[in-house]
Amino acid sequence: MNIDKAVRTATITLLVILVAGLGGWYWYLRSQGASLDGQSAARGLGDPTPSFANGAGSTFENIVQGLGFQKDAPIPETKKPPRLWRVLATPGAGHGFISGATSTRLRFIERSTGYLFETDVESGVTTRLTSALMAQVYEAHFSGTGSPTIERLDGEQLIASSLLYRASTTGAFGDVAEHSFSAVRAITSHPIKNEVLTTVDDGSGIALIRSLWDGTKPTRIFTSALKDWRVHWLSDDALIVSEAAASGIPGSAYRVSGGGLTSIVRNIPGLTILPRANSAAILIGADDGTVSIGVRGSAASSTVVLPIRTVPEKCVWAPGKDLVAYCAVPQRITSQQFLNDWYRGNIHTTDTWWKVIVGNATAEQLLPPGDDQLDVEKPVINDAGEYISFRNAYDKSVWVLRITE
Amino acid sequence: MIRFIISILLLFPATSFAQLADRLTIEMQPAFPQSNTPLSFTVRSYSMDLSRATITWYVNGTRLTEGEGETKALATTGALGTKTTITVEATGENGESLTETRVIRPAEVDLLWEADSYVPPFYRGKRLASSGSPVRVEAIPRLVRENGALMPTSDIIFTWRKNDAIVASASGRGKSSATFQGPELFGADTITVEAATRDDTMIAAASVLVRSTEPFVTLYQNHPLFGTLYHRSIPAEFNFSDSESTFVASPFFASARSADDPRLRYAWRVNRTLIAADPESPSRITLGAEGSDGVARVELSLTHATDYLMEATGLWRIVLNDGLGAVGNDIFGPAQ
Repeated sequence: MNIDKAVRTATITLLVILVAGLGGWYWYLRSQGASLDGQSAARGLGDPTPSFANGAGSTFENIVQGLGFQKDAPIPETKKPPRLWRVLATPGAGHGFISGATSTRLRFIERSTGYLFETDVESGVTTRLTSALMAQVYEAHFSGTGSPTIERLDGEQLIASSLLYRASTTGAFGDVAEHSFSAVRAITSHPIKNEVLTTVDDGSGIALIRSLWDGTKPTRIFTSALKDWRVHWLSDDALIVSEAAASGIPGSAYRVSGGGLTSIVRNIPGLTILPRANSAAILIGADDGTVSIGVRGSAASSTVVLPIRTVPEKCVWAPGKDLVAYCAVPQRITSQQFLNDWYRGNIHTTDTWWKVIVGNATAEQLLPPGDDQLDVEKPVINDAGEYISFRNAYDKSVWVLRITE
Repeated sequence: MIRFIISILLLFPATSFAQLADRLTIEMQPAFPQSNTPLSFTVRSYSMDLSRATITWYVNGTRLTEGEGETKALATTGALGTKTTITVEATGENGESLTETRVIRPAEVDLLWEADSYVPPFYRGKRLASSGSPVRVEAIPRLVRENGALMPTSDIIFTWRKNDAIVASASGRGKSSATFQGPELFGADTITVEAATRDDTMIAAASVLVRSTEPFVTLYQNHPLFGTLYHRSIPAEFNFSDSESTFVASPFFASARSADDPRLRYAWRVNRTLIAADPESPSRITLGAEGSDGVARVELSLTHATDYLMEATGLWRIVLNDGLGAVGNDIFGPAQ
C-alpha cells in the first residue's frame, strides 16, 4: 500500500514537473518569437504572412506585396468598381472576356505564376481559378470560351501551348488540360471557339495551321516563304495577315481565302491594321515619321484619315451594327520612329480613350485624362460593348474601362 | 549558194526595217499597268509625219480623241481580269492610213521582304536587313484571266533581279520567292520581280529598296519571377536598387540565330574592367549592388566572328542605390 502511495506521489510530482517545464518552454519560445518579430519589424519585414483567405491566393498576394507593387484598395462589395480600374497590379500575360456569360466576367493569366484568374467586372470580385504553377507565361490569348493559348520561353525558344480550363465540381480550384505544340513561332486562340491557329516554321517558310485546342483536326490554311506575318483571326473565321511593321517601311495586308491572298491594303509605310469581323471595315495605321490612323468603312470606300494620332493596336471595334471603334490615343508622340521605339520598349505613351464614329469620321474623347499613366495595348471588348479590358504596356498590369458612366 | 546566203543576210534587215517602217508603234507608260491605273500612250512612226497626220484614238472600239498631230492619249485600265484595247489610226497628208492596236490586261504583283536577322522573342516589328543577313522576298501575284480566275502561282514565270542583274538561279516558273544576301554595310539593294504569263499577255512588276541597317544592342532586365522584361528597355542611365540583377543584351538585326549565337562576340566592361562573359549565355551579365553606392559604367562591345564589319556598342550608367530594397526598383516606376 505504502509502495503504491509512493509510486502515485512520484508520478504526480513528475507530471507537475513536466507541465511546469513545458510551460516554461512555452513562455521562453513566446518571448523569443516576440523578439524575432520585433527585429523583423525593425528591418521593415513586418508584413503579416499572407493568408489564403481571399480568392486571389497567397502567391499572388506575396508577389503584390513583396515586390513593391502598389496594391489597389479592395472594392467594397456594395459599390460598383470605378469606371477605370486596375484588375491586376502585377504583370499579366493576357486577358479576355467570356462570351455568353450571365454576368460580365474577365479572365486573365498572371505572368509570374501562370495562374488563371476571373474577375466579375460588375462587382470587382476577383477569384483565382487554378492552382497549377506555370512559371513565366509571357503571353496569353483568350478565346471567348475562357480558355487561353499561352506562350512561354525556354531560353529564347518559344513554348506554345493551349489550355482547356475545367471548373471543379467540389468548389476548390479547377484544373487545366494543356496541349503543347512544337516548332511553333506563334499561337493564337479563335475569338469564340476552342480552336487555335499556330504559325509553324518548316525551315523554308511558315504554315498557318488551324486545329482544335488539342491539336487534333489540323488544317493547313496558308503557307508563305515569309515568317513574320501578323495574324488577325476574327470571330467570323476571317483570317487577315499583315507584314510585321517598321517605321517608314511600306507594308501590305491581305485576306487569306482558299489558300491565296486577296489584297486589302498595299504599300503603306509603317502599316498596322485592325480589321472588323463580319465587315470589310478596317482601321489602317501608318508611321512614316508621323503617326496617323485612317478608317475604311467598306471594301469599295476610300480611306478617311481620322482626327486622332494613334495606332490600331491601341483600338478595338465595338460590337453591333454601327461602325464604332474605341481608341487609346497618346497625349503626345515625340519619337520620329514611334513603332520601332514602342515595340522595343524604348518609349511608353500616356493615353486617353476616344470614341471613333466611322460614319462621319469623327472622334470624341470618352474619358478625360486621369492621373494614371496608361500605355494601352491588347484592348478587348465584351460582347455587349460595355467594357474594355487592356494591358498597360509599361508594366503589363491589366485594366478595365467601363465605357458608359 | 554562198551568194544566196549573203544576199539573204543583206536583205533581211532591210525587209525587217521596211515592215517596221510601215507600222505605227504605241508606247505606254507605265510599262506594266495595274488595275484602275491611268495610262499615257504615245504613237510613233518611221514612215509617216505624224505631226501633220490626223490621228484618232479608240478605247475598246469607242473613239477617245481625234486631231491633227494628236500623238498622245490618256486612258485608264479596268479591273483585274478585264481587257482594254487601244487602237490608233493615223491618216497622212497623202491619204495613206496606218493602224495599230494594243491590248492591255492589267496585272499586279506585290513584293514583300523580311531579313533573316535577330530580334528578341515577342518583338512585333519587322526584321530589318543588316550586312551579312539574308533577305527573304516573296512575290504575291494577281494575274487574273478573263473568266475571273486567278492564275495559280505555279503557272506564272517569275524573273528576279538584284540591282538590275537577273538572278537566273532564283528565276523560273512558279518561283515566287527567293533569298538574297543582304546589302553591304551602309548600302542598299533594289530587288525587282516580274511575274508573267507564258505568252506574256499579262506582265506585272514590282521593286523594293532594301537598305542596310546597322545592328545595335538594347538591354533588358531578366527578372527572376517575370522573366526578361522585353517591354521595357534599360535607358542609358537608370537607378538600380536590387541587391543583384541579371541583364540581357538583345543584338537587334545582327546576323544571328539567337542572342547567344556562337558567332557573336560579347565584350562586357564594368567601370572599364573587362568582365569575362558567361560562356553558356554571353548575352547576359549579372550585377550586384550590395554594399555599393555610386555609378557603375557598363559597356558592351559586340562583334561578329564572320562579319568583320559588324560592331555594335552600348553604354549604360547605372546608379547604384544600396539599401532601397526591391520596393525601390525602378523597373516598375512611373511612366515617363
